[in-house]
Formats: sequence, C-alpha cells, structure tokens
Amino acid sequence: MKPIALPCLAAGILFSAVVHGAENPAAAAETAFLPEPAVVTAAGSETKPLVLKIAVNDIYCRKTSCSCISNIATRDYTVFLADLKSNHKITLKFTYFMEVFDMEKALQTKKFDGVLCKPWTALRLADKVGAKYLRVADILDPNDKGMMTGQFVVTSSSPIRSLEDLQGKQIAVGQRDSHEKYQSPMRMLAAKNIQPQKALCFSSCGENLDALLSGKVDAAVISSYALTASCAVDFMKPGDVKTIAETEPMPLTSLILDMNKVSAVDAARLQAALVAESGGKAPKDLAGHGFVLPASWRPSPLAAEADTGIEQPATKHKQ
Amino acid sequence: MTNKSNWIGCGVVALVAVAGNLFASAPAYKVDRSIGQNEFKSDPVSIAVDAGDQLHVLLRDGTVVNCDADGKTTGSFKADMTSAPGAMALADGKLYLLQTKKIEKEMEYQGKKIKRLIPDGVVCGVFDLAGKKISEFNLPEAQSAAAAHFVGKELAVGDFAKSQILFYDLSGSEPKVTQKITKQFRLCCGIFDFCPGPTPGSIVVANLGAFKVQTYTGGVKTAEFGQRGTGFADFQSCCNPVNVICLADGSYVTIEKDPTRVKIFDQNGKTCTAVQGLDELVKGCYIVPAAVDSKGSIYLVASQQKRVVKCVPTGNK
Repeated sequence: MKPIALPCLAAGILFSAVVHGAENPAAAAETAFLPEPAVVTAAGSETKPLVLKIAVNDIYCRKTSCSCISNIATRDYTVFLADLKSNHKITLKFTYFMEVFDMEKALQTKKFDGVLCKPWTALRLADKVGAKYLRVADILDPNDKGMMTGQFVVTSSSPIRSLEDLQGKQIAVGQRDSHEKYQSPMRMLAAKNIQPQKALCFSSCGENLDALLSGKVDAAVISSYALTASCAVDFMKPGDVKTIAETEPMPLTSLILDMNKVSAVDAARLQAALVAESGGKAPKDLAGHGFVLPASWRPSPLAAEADTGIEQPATKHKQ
Repeated sequence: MTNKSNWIGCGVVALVAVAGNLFASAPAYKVDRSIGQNEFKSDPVSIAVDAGDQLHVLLRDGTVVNCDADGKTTGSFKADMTSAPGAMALADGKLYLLQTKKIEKEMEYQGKKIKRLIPDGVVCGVFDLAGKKISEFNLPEAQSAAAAHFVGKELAVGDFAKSQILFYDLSGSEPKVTQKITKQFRLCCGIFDFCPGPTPGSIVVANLGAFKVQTYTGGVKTAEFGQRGTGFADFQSCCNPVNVICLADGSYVTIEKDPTRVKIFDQNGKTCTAVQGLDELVKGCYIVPAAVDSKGSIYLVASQQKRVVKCVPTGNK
C-alpha cells in the first residue's frame, strides 16, 4: 500500500461531459409505458396464462438487501406473486440479485423479459443488451413514496449552505453512469456554472459518505435513501449531515419490461394486474401499498464516453 | 518486421509485461480439501493459530476446539464464563476469550416498540490451552467485542458498538487502555475484524462500509486500498471486505462475503490473485474469521457450515 494522497480530476472536463449529454436530442424519451386505449381494451379480454422472467434487485426486498437494514427492507413478494397468478393467470418468475453488478451481467444474457430495480440501472443498459425497456409500474417504498432524488450533503458542522458554496470545493459523486449521483447532480452544477476543484467518483453511497466523514471532500452526493435503507444506517444517522440541494425526483423502483420480448397487450395486462393487486389489496409483506402506474420520467441519456473525453473516474481513485 | 508488426510486437511485449506485473507479487493459493469436511457441533465464531501451528476454534456455544494443522481434533473445553464469549485472541500459550455483556432495552423502529439486547461492556477470560481458567477481568471503555488480536504485547479489541479499536496493556494488575482508534470505521451488519499489520504496532482493518483495507500505525491511518466496483481487484456486494489477514511476506489476504472471494494483494495493495476452488463460505452478511499459520496456510471459518476451510500456498507467484 502506498501512502494516502488525494487524486485530482478536472471538474471542467466533467462539466463539458454533462452539458454535452444534456444537448443530446434523444434526451426526452419517455420511460413510462403508456398504452393506447385499444391496447388496454385488448389486454382486458386476454385470459391465457402469461409467464415472464424478471430479474430483481429491490432496495426494500428482504432477498436483495443487506441484513443491516432487515428492519426496513422487509418486502417479500411471495403472497403478491401468488395473488397475481391466481387472480390474473400471470406468473412472474423472479430471480433475485443481491449484487447489482451480477444482475447487470445477467441482463446481458438476454434471458429475462424484464427487471424490477432502480430504473436507471436497466435503462442505461438498454442499448448494450439490445432491449427496449419501458416501466410498466413503479413500486412504493414502505412510506408509500415512489420517487427518490440525489442529495448533496455536507457534515452537520460544515459552513457550506448551498450549491454555490461548492465553487472550488472538493466533492464525492457517483460513477459516471449513475443518474442520481453523477449525471443529474453534475448537470445541476453545470447549469449554475459551479465548478468544484476536484471530484472523487465512487460506486457506493458508503464510499461517498466515508470520503465526507474522513475529510477528503467538502460535500458528497448520495441517494436519498442512503441514510435510511443502505449499509450507511449502521455508521451514520440522518442528523449527521445536512442536505444543501437535491436533484429532480426520479422513480425509485420500477417493474420494467423489454418491449422487444413482451407485446404491448401483455405489458398492459401486467400493468393493470399489478395495480389491481396493490393499494388496499396489497399484502402486508409487500411493505407499502405496492405498485402504481409509472410516473413520467424522461432522463437525459448517458453521455457517451467517446463524446466527452472523460476517463472513467472511479478507477482514478488510487492512493 | 514492418512498422505495424513492430507495434504489434511491442504491444504483445507490453501485455506480457503488464500481465507479469499483475500477477508477479501476490502468492497463489488453493483449497486443501483434505480437511474441513467435518462439522463442528456449533457454529465457529473465532479462530486462532498458536506458535506450534495448532488451531483453536471458538464455537458459538462457548466451546473451544483444539485441532492440528490437518484438522484433527486434539481436545476441547467449554469456557467457564457467565455466557458464551464471541471473540478470541491468543498469546504466549494463553487464550483470551471475550464475552460481550448485554442488557435488554426497548427501542423504536418505524413507530413500533421492540425489545433488544444491547451490548453493555466486555469481560475477558484468560485460559490455558487445556481450558484451565487463569483469570477474568473487565475491559474498560469497551462496549462490545467483535474481534480481538494481539498486536505485539497488547490486546487489541474491535468494538463494533462504539466503532472503535482499543489497545490494552495487560501487564499490570488492571487492563489499561493505551490507544484508541475512533471515528474512522464505517461498519455495518455487526461485522468488524482486523489483523496485526506488517510493521510493529500496526494493524490492518477491513473497513467494509467504506470498501477499504486500511493500515493504522500508532493510531494514525498510514495507508489504504480498495473500492467498490466490477474490477477483479475491486470489492463487491453491499459491504466488503469482511476480514483481512497479513501474510509473512507483507501480502494482504482480503475476504469478501457473498459472493465469497478471497484475494491476495501484494505489499502495495495492488496486484492480486484469487484463491482458486473456493466454495461459498457464507450466505448473506456474515463474519468470516480467519487466521494464518507459520507455513502461510490460511484458515477461513465458514460459520454457517460449521467448518473451517484451509487454503495452502501453491508455491507459485
């Protein structure tokens, strides 16, 4: 091991990257599945069994979350899936992935019809895996919230109070392909012409918070659930930091189908069934009121590395 | 050779050089399947190796099982303590068994009140290798004991509840805290382990919530490596590594839980190899206690499977 030293990353390069991404004409693509009335009607009369293979990486699911949040991540789909099968003849074959990297690899095998996860995790891979992903439903968290944000946080004793105060400061962000921890926050900074002196890029909220607590950075960007539903709950409390800014809201967890493999009629049928078995009918172990129609979300596409000249920043954090 | 083929030739040479460098410095290991097939009667929670390469395995029920390097049981005893100890350290032919005292406390989660057992101090019982109790004392300032190791003459205790490592001088009539490392560790899942470092007085900590392996000397962080990622040398899952041990040549063995990955990094924390043929040791977030003997053999505790897995050097680097 070598002695510790901070890496340096030119924030200006990052800025050109995110601005370039925002200018991409494909930026406005809707990710919610919004079926035409005729499709909904056709779906309503469909009665033959439907079987779909779904990859699952859900923050609040017992089978895909860390044991340190077992008090919070209590979701179990067993009863819900049984209801879906008995009441709608729809069988969702769930394959659970605790490690999101493993799920990403599995998606590339193209054996899944859909995925239940943070939507950006799948959406950013769509081109790579040759899928046409659309969100058929969002699932509510235990507090019945369906959206999340990226949050700029500083230590509770920090004099930093606003985004503007980050001018010339050091920040910890997510990896370049993270939406709430990199793409969206960097666009926020770029829009205000705020240029941090250095940016460290990590693959987890825990590392970002560690960089903040260790004094390596002045601010960190984390997912809004990080202090309540990730390993960070064991070493930080929400009161240990203050939030100085938030990104735009984005869906927390969605059931996403590959429309290259699933027909619009089947997608509409599943959408209706998911919503019908939710709300007041949602089984208790779903931890919340289940699925709702997908919120409109048009994320800017990932800026291609070749377009930006960005080097993958996470790998640059060496001591 | 044309210019193009020259470039290709240079590229091949460079690749070979890079590959050579990548795997040159970290020793290679394989699983020794001749031992570790027999289950203990209770799940093992700690392991130590003495100067004669005898294994001492602490089970959750408070039993200490002594084995030879081939895994053959040579003796056992039940620790005479008020409740089962959860951590163990070994020095000078004596076993130091650490028991975390607990009190019941009512806590609130999402509006629901539930009763939980909360750590409330640490008792250390000292035994000889045959199980005869020598002494027992409280460890001041410790709230819990997740792991313990001797660092030089001092007993170092990993206190998960307070997220600290305490060093004790046991030479006097009362244990005395000589050093504390605090506010550095991002711990989760009740997992906290470390090992004596490559230099006198240093320790190396598996700071799993930060995805880092960190060396502390004199209480000061002097080096670190690791990050979460998809690379071979990166750490994965929600928090990792769960443990680290140092080899005699200064290499580091990092142990990741679910999926189990045991990797050996060189002295600089850079190039690494993986132990080949290793099955999943634990499912979910679980400790993997570990120890190394004088021959460089690594012992990994598969607690849920109630067995110890031995990994031996292949002699290759």
